[in-house]
Amino acid sequence: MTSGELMTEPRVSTAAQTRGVVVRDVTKVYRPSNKLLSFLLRSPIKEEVHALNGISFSVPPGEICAVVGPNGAGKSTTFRILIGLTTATTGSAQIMGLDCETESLEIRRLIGWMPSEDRSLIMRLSCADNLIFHGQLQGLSGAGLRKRIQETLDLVGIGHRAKDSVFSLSSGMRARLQLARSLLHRPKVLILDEPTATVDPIASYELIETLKHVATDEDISILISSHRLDEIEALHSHIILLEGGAIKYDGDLDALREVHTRPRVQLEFRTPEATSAASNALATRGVLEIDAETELELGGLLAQDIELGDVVAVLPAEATRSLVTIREEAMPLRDLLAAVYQKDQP
Amino acid sequence: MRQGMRRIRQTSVAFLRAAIVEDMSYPMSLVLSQLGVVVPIFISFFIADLVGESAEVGGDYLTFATVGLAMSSALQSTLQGFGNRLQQIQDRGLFESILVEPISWTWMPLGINQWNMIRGFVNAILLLGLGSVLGAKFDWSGLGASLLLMLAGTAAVSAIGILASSLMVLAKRSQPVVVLYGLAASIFGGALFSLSQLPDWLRPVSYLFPHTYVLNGVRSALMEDPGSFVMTVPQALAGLGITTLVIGGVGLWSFRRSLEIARELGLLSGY
Repeated sequence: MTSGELMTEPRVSTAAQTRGVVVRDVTKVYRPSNKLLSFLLRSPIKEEVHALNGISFSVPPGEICAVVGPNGAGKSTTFRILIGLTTATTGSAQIMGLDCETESLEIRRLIGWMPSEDRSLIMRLSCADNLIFHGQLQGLSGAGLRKRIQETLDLVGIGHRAKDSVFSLSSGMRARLQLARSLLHRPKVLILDEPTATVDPIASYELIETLKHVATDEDISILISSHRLDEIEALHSHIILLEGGAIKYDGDLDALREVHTRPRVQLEFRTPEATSAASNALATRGVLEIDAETELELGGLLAQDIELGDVVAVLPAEATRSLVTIREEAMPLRDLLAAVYQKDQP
Repeated sequence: MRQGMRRIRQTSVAFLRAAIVEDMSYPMSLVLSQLGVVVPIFISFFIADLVGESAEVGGDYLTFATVGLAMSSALQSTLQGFGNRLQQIQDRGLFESILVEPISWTWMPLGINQWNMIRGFVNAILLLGLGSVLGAKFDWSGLGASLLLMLAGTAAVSAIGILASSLMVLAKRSQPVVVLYGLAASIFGGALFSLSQLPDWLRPVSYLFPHTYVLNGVRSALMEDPGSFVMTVPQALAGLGITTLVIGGVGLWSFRRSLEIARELGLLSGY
């Protein structure tokens, strides 16, 4: 995948149509129940909530797709439709060619789901017993199941804790156990809802590396939601930006950078006079939006369609002679995403 | 067909094993709850001493009450187990992770309550044994028929438990309904007194409770004289069969429908 676009048309690949994840024009409207039902059920929904507004995307096998967006953007609703815990109001969602609403039972054999909370584990049971429970429900049994459990626990790095109760594990280890559970039955699609929310940065890095290996080695599609921008960057993945139930961007991170990034330039001079002269020239010619200036340093974002050479070219001779360093820095992902979310939709 | 049976067996083993391992991890709770089950038999022993012989209960009150307590214990364990276990699963956040497993949503409640059913069944037999040790006089030739009635009774109260569970999926709590039903069943089932002592106009209400059929059917099977209210084993089995078929069908359909409604409304994760 080399390109991405804002507010894309459905980007559905042929491979994904039969083997990966395909979501077409999916909307989800949570409607309030009638008054009696609402009173009895104490439903929190008082008025229509449009959680998803016609989203379409696909994730082919072997690809990792990061779903990113602020709270309420529609990430969890999308995942819940895929795993069959809620239904789309209109549109269709398919996994390996099976419909998520009508063929949910078959789909549940093909997916591995890791919820964001470790409460989905049975705390009093050991790691191995949790996986035996899950494995048996998936139709696995006997020596084959036990062998696979050990292999999977080893894969996620907690093979030595197989007999320990879940409540004795750290948050990071519980996250690994949840990942093991989602991988145990060799799913074709992994759906991970903030898998590293409770994990420290080192464990998070290891978890992400494991996921990258699994995606390529097992040729499975992985959908992952996360608020941690460092790990989204580390995934080098297909990225979907959601906002208000709509897709804001669907493509890869590099393409997003190409479209939206304005590199940051940092210049250092020997004298304050040179710094001042450079500041005047750069501001007058409109090549750099200066946002940081000290006696000897200048920094700012390059103007649109301006390159580093243009900056040097407009510097007065006095400043050029006094220039000590000039360096271009990639736009931090945080700023990049902020830029995308601030940009008006075309 | 064979594959389907294998899946049912695997699912059943998975739920049963997890419930047993988890229950065993709370040994003190397990021991105390067992004590709670046997204490009423000792109370009946002393009440029997006080009451003496009574034709209403077939002569010996201890025998009469032991059957009532043993059967009620088994049925209540099954009935309340559905709601308790489902609520526990919902409150802990396990519900959704079970729903995404490739198992039938319709039959799921039976899977999660198997351990309670088995415990109730075993406890009932233990109570009969304890009553016998304390002096209750049983005709053990009727044990086979009694076990059959207990199985049929378990199926009937399971049907009611599943119906209550379907309410719980949506309303998140249905225990008050089950507790009220359990209290009513202990009165109208005749656990500790003969149903002939109920006013004539109130007696028909008894037939709405599976407890009535199990308790009085087992009394006919195990006691030489079941007292003044007689219900034969075939009558009891027929009553339980009809209850299971009617309420079981409605219960299973309701449970699945509740899950579908909760799925559409986005209520599955709430508790």
